[in-house]
Amino acid sequence: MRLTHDTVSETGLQLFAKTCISISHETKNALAIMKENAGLVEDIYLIADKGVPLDTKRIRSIATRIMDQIGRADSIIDTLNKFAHSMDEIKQRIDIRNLLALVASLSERLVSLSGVTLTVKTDVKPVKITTNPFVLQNLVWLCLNFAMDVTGEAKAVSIAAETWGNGGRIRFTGLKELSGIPAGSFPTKKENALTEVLCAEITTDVEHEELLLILPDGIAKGFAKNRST
Amino acid sequence: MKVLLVDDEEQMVSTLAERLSLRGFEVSWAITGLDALAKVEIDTFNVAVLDMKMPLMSGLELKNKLQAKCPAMKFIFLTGHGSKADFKSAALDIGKEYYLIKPLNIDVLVQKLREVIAI
Repeated sequence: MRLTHDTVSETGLQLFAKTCISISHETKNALAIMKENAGLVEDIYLIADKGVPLDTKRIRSIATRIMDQIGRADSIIDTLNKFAHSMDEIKQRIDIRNLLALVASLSERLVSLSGVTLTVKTDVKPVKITTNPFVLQNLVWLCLNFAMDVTGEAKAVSIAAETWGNGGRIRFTGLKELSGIPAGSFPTKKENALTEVLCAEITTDVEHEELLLILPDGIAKGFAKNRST
Repeated sequence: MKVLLVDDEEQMVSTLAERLSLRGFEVSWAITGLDALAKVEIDTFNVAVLDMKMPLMSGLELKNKLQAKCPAMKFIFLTGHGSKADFKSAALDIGKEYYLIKPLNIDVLVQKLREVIAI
């Protein structure tokens, strides 16, 4: 059990660190664009001071760009805030669809850098389970990383949540090169530790080129108790 | 002086291009490494200003490809704070280069552009 706890903690910290790097990078980009646009307004006013008529349409267009970037930065900070709040309670009643949307948002930059297109397919009905949302985010993140490595030339992964028995199921599809993965190389120690905490199960389906993460409605009582003390 | 700007943030690179144009530089821009490589097939540039982290092809990978096509081209790298250490490590393999941290100071960029051309 100690090994599981250490692996879970380590994996959680790694996700937290990666998220901070990605979010700070994204925020910096938004700030850099705002700064360039504000600088451009200054440039235009300097030119106007020399007698060139002020182009008000141009100024309005730059203001719109700045507002867009403020909206972008605000959305990035909201995502970080939601992520941090996932640690509020060890056990929470969640809609898996919302969790997938959050993970997709958190991983947007890293997914984009890898050249992969990620699609989150949203079901009409809620897929609610009681689980440890932070640990589940970690597990989804690890599965997504694995999925992105086996997309082949298509470079596209879809994730979807659906009701499964009394709990839920997350499907990662588009795993074109799943058949080439050496036996025993996935799931690794990390995924196994997280699935143990969530009482979850990971299966792969080579024929349908998908990975399935099966989640019960509830988590190991012992772990929840240990983690909260 | 002809400058090629490459950054996957289109609003960043297009605005920066406009500001440099207002300062007398002849500027072209691209949002991917492949776009940039296509530009050097049809035009000649004195300096390339490259974002370090871009999808599919990093700034350092692009620099190596551009240098193979245009040996006289000079380079300036743009980085967020998070990738400064990565740059320093990678720069050991490629020799001394200039890098600037975002958000940029346009006056510093202009100064660096003039410095690299003077080398």
